[in-house]
Amino acid sequence: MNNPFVSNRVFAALIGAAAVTSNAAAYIDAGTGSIVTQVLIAGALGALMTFKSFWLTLRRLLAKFFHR
Amino acid sequence: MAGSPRPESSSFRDPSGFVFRQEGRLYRQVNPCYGLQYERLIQTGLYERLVERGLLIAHKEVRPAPEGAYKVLEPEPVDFVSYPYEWCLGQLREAALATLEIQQEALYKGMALKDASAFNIQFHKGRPVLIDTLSFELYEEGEPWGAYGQFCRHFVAPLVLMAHADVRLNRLSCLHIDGIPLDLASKLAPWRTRWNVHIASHLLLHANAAVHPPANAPAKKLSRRGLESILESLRSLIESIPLRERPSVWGRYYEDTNYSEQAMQSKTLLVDRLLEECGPPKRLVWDLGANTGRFSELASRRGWTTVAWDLDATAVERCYQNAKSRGDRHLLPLIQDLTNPSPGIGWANEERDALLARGPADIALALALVHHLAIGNNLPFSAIADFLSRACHKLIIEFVPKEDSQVQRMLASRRDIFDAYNQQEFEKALEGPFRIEARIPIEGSSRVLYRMSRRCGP
Repeated sequence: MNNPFVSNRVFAALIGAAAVTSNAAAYIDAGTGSIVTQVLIAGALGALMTFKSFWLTLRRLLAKFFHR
Repeated sequence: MAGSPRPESSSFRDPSGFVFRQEGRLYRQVNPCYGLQYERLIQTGLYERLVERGLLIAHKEVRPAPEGAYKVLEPEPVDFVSYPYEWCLGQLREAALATLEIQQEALYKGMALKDASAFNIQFHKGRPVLIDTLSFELYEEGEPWGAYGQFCRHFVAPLVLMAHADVRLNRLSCLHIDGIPLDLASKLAPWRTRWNVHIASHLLLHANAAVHPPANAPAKKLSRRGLESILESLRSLIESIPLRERPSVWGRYYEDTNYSEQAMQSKTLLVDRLLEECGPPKRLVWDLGANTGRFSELASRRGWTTVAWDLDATAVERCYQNAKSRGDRHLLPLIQDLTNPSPGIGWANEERDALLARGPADIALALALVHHLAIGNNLPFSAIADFLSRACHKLIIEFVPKEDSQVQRMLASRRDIFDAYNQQEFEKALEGPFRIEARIPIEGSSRVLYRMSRRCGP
């Protein structure tokens, strides 16, 4: 694996935790790797959104506190 | 409709239906197994919405449907079929955005694209449009996007390579009919692309997962929100693809040429007149070696479907952006190396047609082209004449003599082995398959313009 972002071991663990689903209407091979990637990216984006929303709330509260 | 239809050679992958021709008209059969999905497409208003937005080709239902078919559709004919390896960066980018837009619209109506092949998109009236009406499946909450891998191979990989490595890598899509393998694209993508989080995710991480898929992964779902965030991330990636102009030999050909303004004016007027004399085409005009489409416009502005072919991706990009900005719906600029034209590819070499199989054009322009073929590629006039006779019925062609400074520039760095390169030999060769109907010198230059008609059709 050449990707400098993800080591073999971490990547294998991520893949192991991810998934395969099937769709009767599909006629192309969705590819296990492509499904896994979607799940991983969606998870990362979801976590990012949660963090962003938490950070915005915290910043609002802090701003209120210091402007009292 | 009489007889059982024979599917087109490219229409065998999807069991939902197939495309066939009958009496010169194109039809799409919907098989009974796709009845439910087809009805959902119509009843939810998705079809109407997509057609209204110019994202899906319109069709008429043929009644009654023949035995064995759920429906037969007659789609609006596309003026000219082109392929992703012939598109410039801007065209591929717009085709990708259109595909994402269609997927988003489908999701609103409880459906999803089941495939995302770039071959399903065609440029119709100047815009990218989905031509495969049977590309939709029912969406169920929790399902990942089945066409995600195909979208990345067909759009993300070539766009990243064209924009960040070299625009000529568009030709890779011709070698890989189901899109550029992600591991290959990942190896070819410059190192700096790893800093773009969207490219790192959809191309590099994805490539790793495609090469090392898990053997027994447990079932897991992707929420609707998760799917929408994937689409949003893909859109950000595509929108971040820069369209900046790259320096090239041909991109500024007209600015660099030694043509005087008077000679250029005179040539423009002459070409316009010769086009008028050729009369309206039944189907299409080809401008071979069109550069940025200065002369192609003379045909397209008459409302004639015109394909402007050129080798240089930068020139084609300029031609496309210019046509787009003036709202020209009849001009289709495409990349084509005439010395090595698009071949027939896919199963039995019949899935995607070669260049000449998509012709012949009613009228072809070959302006300032012959010296590049004859001197730049050592082609004898007879071979050029033969190719042109298979490419068109009527021909407007320019002869550039050896004393012209452009030819002299080409000969400056090589031995002149072109004793037969003269006007007399040129006419002799072209008069084989063509009849010369007009011969006009271009004022202010030593060049000559001809109007010719093919003697007999193949």
